[in-house]
Amino acid sequence: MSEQDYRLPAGGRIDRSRTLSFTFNSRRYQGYAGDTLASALLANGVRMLARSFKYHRPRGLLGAGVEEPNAFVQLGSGARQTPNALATQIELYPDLAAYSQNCWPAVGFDLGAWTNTIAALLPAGFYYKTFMWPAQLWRVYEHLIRRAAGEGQAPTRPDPDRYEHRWEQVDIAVIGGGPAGLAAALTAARSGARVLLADESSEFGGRLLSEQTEIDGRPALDWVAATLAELATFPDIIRLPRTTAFGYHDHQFLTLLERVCEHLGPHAPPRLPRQRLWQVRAQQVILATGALERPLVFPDNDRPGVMLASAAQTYLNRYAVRPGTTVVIVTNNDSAYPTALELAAQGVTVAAIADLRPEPGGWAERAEAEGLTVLPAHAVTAVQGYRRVRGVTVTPLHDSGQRLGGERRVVACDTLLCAGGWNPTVHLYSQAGGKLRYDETLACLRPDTARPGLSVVGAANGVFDLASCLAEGFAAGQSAARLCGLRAANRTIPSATPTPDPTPYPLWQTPAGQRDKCFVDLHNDVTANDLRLAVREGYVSVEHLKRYTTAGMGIDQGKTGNVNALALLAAARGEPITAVGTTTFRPPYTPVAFGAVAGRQVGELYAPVRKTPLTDWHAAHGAVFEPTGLWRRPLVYPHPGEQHAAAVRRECLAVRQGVALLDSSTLGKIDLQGRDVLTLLNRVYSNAWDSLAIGRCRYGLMLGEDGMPFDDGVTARLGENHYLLMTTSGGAARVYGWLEAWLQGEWPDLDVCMTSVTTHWASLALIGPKAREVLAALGTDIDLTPAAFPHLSVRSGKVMGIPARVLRVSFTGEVSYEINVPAGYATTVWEALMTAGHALAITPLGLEALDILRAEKGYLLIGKDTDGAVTPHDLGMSGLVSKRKDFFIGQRSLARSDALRRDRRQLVGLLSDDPQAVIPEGAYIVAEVTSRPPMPLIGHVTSTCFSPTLNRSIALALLKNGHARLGERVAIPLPDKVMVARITEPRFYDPEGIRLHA
Amino acid sequence: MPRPKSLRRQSPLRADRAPSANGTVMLDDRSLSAKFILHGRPDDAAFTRAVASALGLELPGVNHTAGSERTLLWLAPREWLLVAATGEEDGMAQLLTTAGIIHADISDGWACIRLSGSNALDVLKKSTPLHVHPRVFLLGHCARTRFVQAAVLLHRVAETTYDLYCERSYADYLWRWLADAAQEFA
Amino acid sequence: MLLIACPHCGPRAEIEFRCAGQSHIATPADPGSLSDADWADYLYYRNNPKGMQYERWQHVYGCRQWFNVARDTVTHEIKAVYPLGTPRPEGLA
Repeated sequence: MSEQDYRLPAGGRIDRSRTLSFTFNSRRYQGYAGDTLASALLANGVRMLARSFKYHRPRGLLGAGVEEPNAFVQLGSGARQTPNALATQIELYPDLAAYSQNCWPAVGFDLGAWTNTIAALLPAGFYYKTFMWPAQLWRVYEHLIRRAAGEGQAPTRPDPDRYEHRWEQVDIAVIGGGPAGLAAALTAARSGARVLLADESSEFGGRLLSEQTEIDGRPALDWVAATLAELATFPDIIRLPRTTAFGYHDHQFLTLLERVCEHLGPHAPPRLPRQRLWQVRAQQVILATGALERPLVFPDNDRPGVMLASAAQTYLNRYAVRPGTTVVIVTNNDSAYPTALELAAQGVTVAAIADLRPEPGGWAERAEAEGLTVLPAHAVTAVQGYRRVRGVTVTPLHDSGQRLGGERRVVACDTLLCAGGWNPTVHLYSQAGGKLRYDETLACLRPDTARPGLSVVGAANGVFDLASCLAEGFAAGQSAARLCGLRAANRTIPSATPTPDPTPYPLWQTPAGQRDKCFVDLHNDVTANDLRLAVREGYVSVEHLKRYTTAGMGIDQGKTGNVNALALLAAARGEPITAVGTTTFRPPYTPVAFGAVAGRQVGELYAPVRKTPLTDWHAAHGAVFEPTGLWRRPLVYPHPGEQHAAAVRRECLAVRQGVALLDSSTLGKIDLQGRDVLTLLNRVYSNAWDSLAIGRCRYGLMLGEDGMPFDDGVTARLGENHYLLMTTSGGAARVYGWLEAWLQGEWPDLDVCMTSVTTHWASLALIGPKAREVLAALGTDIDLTPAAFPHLSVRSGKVMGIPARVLRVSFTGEVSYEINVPAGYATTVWEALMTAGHALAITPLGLEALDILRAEKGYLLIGKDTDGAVTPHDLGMSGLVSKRKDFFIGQRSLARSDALRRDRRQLVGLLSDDPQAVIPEGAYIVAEVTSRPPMPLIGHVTSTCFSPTLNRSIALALLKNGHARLGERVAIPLPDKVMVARITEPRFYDPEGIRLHA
Repeated sequence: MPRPKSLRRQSPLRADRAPSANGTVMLDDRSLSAKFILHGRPDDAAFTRAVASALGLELPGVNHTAGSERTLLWLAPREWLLVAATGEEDGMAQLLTTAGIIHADISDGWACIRLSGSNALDVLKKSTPLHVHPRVFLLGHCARTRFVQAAVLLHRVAETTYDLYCERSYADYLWRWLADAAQEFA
Repeated sequence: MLLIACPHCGPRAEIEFRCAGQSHIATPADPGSLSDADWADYLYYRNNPKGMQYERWQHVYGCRQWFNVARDTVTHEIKAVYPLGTPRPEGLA
């Protein structure tokens, strides 16, 4: 076959000066700029594009746009390949490469087609029937089924393209750029509204691009061009071609996918995104989403060459492609007749028009006058040909279409066009919460109730006449403008070519036999018999039917099949269609790439990495980082060549014997000022704060209303009414929000001013018996002698001349100066401390060593050594629960009978009998070891480590009735052994705290 | 006692400036300004008088700002951000204390990135659901909002110039995000 | 995504806010006088109405103020936004 045999010599909206070469299934073809992959393949006479989902039947093009259920292809290769791309929506670009999906080894010779021969074994719900037993084998079945049935291949390499997001706010969003949408957008723009107009196609115009209609006595596309030209004169109008509105969310929030560069393929400029996800809030939304033509249900209605009449019209007029050489048309309404006449005018042989209606009317007469054969009350009852249509059998209908009879005739043809009426595209309207009603006359579902902020116009509203569509569009534009508080522009409604009556003859299926395959959902290979079988088996609810038969599921979501399926379900139930209802329409309307959803929040921008002023220093000095919330904190600083464990041990010993430096800048710091701060502290902490003197610090446990600690930390009193409250690193935002909620919601009378100063102050904790020496060497005006600056106190002064707050607090049990300086000076002070401590072998301290040091002292990590069911009493911290206060948050819960039980899980220490063996974290403690599980659990290990200081393993655990069992032994069964440990106080080192006060 | 001049106060950002390839998006680091959170009630006459006499500025209302060399930005019904020149940290603290205005120094706690250029608005629209249309978000307006995954105070200082304040720890993330967003404009 | 009219900052996108669930839960004046069951009821039991719901929201990414919202849980229509500590608006349900 020579190139582009089916291309018309002239016409169409293609650019014949730009020939584009492309490949499909590795074979090279030519097309033109302006083609879709589908139109270019059709121009080249390629009829078979895909194999069907379940039966692997050969399939061609049914549609010409978003409704296409068959022609899903694998586009591109390598990291850039896109599965499930719709050939009817892929714009041709130079050297485009696409492949058929769901066939192996090739679309023309598909081994999977054997499933068609066992079709009787693959009835509706075959998943649920065939593969039920034995259940263990499902894993095997599933693997095979997933490969046999199928969609495209997901790329396995990272996506190299960029995807952008864009937020937008407009007065009026118009979805759909056909006649109604253009009229609405134009009126809205003329009224001074900020308008967004989106259309999924590369060009605005909608159905006008496919038809030979006139507006005001001139070609309709002249009106489109004039409208677009006028819209371009308004500075604040956003026009988005190639943009699909795929979601309608609450409060007029729309999500749209703009295919920015897809039509350029790999030739797109790398700075531009492949796609852009628009998140648009509109005061008013006008849906002009058009309608999709319905196929007819008859035997073998899926053969390559069976096409929607509207699609044929699109290929003919928009792309200048003949859908075939000889066509037969089967229709139940007038809308196919212009297509028939236009085809005939282009030299296509229209062999017959089978019209289901007994009295087709004026359009049929006109066709006959033009020399075409119209067969009233005739249906297509068989299709000849396997890989392509070779002819059709037409048979007279009797008894309102319920019976076949009379002379059957076979008409040779290569193409069968069907026209089964129109379905308004109501997906977005339904997503918006709009209710649908079944229109008996038009035999379709159309919008019923009004939704605030939303109007539906044109074919989407069940209005098909062009002049009426324009009128509705203009009116909706005016009305939306008024609702935005604008003065609506005047309108002059143009005249237009009358549109053929789309009222269909309500025959939902041609009478057919039990073994005939009359497809309802081509995408999922669901036949009319499947639906009836499912109903006989009791799946009478529309939602059950959908899931059981898969009709309307998958990528295509039943764009062509749904209403036919509803009608057949209604017929099988013997009820009107209205009684059946519809399935729920959910976003997205069409598939959206994960890349578009993620946008640029991928790679290093996936999530923020919060940095302390010292993060870069840590990285430059070999720190191994660990994520803690959004922060990344040093875990350990191994020397070159040093083993991880050795480095941890070295850091631990430096703290106990020398000096170490910890970046604790991530600790939450809340500045509290006002007359009532003390009252606030007394209410939000379980312990008492009245006696805290200026310059002193105190540790506090913060309880939830359920009495369980959720954060802890030290609060320092800086002045009469000035405090600095410190939180854990991970709890900073939560504590700040907690205080806000209580102050605003319950205690608005308290005079407290709160400021988060977490990031203003860098915290450099200088820790160890030699810490004082190092700090003194740095130069400070603060008296560091223990008498003048004891443990749990705070001093403001200068360090290296820099304003500083120094706190003597400790999370290791050693003398510790937490030097707080403005973050801009952090590196200067840190480096000076490292220099000053050099002779004393100062080391930076990581979290892993810190975790060991605090465990040696039995200091808590809330959330690790506690969970949501551990009280301060369980932690042995009853001293932090004030008995004198009238109120603190959590007080009442601590008096619950359950909180007072003596056998609660309580925090204890564990010393394993084998001092060298470390009990694994999270290990269970059992009451009794039996030969196999289950064993009665009495607790679990929360923290565990090998202590370099004590040269033995230690652990903390929550143990039932633990406080009463000190000195006893417990068993910890592990997969390979049982460990035995002695229960101790949860303090292993310096239990008296002598070192702290040194 | 003044801070030692020999010690350099470091910005959280390593670069001072990043233009997009065609110069239609410009980033500048302005993190080192003096910044304070002021607390008070707008209906407290003593407070408003103290602010007026200490700073020479009227307290701005919701989502508004006042002043240029020293700027007050509305944050919350009882909170304002005061921004003054680099080096004024100590002097300003003294001034506020003397005036009896409850305040907290966050000069080093918040970073500021100036985003400017003819495509600055496009960069904003990639990042925040805030209604930033120039007819809505006017010159001198400010708003705290969600900016990608960070909390940002946005201040429109000129026709196509915006100051973005964020917590210091997020500055590096925000800068990377903005620089990456600007890549489209080359 | 909801559009929520913060009483201070005006209409903002839902992702700037957080919702803390049911509002108008009075903190017991004397928790000690409540039985364990009554205390549990205060702490844990919440309504889940189909229709008008009165709930607390905070403008966390904006002015950080808490306020009440009357929202229809079926249509997500926000019927009223009103300060903490004030009673439910009349006649919304």
